[in-house]
Amino acid sequence: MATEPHLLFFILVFLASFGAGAVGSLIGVGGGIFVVPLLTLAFGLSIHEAAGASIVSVIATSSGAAAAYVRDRITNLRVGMFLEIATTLGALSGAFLATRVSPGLLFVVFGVVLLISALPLLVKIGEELPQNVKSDRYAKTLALAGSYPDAKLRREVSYEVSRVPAGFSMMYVAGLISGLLGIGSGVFKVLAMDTAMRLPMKVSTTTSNFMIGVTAAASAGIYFQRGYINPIVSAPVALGVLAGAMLGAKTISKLSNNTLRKVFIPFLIIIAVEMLVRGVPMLFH
Amino acid sequence: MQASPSEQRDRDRLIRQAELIISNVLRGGVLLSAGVILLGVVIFYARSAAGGHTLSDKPFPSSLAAVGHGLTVGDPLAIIALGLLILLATPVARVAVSIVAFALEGDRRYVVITTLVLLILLASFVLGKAGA
Repeated sequence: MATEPHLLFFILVFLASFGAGAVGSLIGVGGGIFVVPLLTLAFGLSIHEAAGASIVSVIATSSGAAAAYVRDRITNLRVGMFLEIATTLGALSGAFLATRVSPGLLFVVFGVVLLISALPLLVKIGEELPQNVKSDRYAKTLALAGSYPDAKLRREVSYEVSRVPAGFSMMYVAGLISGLLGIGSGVFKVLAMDTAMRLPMKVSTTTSNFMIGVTAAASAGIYFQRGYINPIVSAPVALGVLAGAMLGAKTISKLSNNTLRKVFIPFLIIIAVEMLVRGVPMLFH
Repeated sequence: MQASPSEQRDRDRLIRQAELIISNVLRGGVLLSAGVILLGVVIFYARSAAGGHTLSDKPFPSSLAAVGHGLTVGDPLAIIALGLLILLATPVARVAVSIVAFALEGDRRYVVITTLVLLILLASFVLGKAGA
């Protein structure tokens, strides 16, 4: 940004970030899909400054809402901490592979994978809580099953956790694409917990929210040292997202799991399309 | 291995305590960083309105040393950068404190799991620095 930063820039980025934080904190994603296009397309910032702001946005969405989600016992701390092994290892390997693989192909592959994974979610519309889930032996050993107070259903909901190895593997991939591509890590985390491990939707999105900050922190230091984190760009993003995430954390108790899934699906499709839009031109470059 | 009702109550209380510790670390980090960023923003735009610097003639700090130096001369960009660094460090602090929280809970498995996560995070900082 070569021109003098106007207060209007601050206000517009703050407002957009507020929306990103509010929606992102509900559905367990980082909000980069709103912030990055605004900064690059509307304000003409470099992709590096936008990527730095995106990392700030992910961490602010996570920390801003997770305090409330953990306090209100919606987040499954054990599931989150255990799966963070996979996501941080994935992020670390992604950072190593980043210079060795073509991002175009990866954007296309993961974009298609995300589009396909929308299908089982569409089938599940109308289902409030997962039925007939049995904890596998890993879930039993690690004491992953839990319960959360559902303000909408007005009762404590107990749940089991299935297919832990599949969930763990998907989390490694989520970390990998976070390290390689910088976007889409939250949606993969929600999918791993919702589709593979079959946690209730609220537990999946809030546990994803809890985890994305740590995955992003694995690359935040590098972004800072490379000068991607411009204070003038990142300040309104951080403040807006934090305020939005705190609002989102207050809103989730008013939503049913089914409504939350209906909010999640369009964003999953938008992120998939954004990946394809970025990846396909790279393939033919 | 069946826990007696009083053992179960004690265990629930310890789990609750661990949750509150983790929640408070997150909230503390968020409020502190937001306060520092806001302070830097107010100073920056106040000076900018008074006809001060523009971004083009003023590079922003991108190392801890540069942030530290900027703070000693009252550079608002360094104050914002400090706030952003506090925000970026909050998830790492949360992982570190979780180790203590699980230890208080007496859950050795999760002390090991969380320590492993912290080590991987630290490795990513060290290796990232080397690779950058």
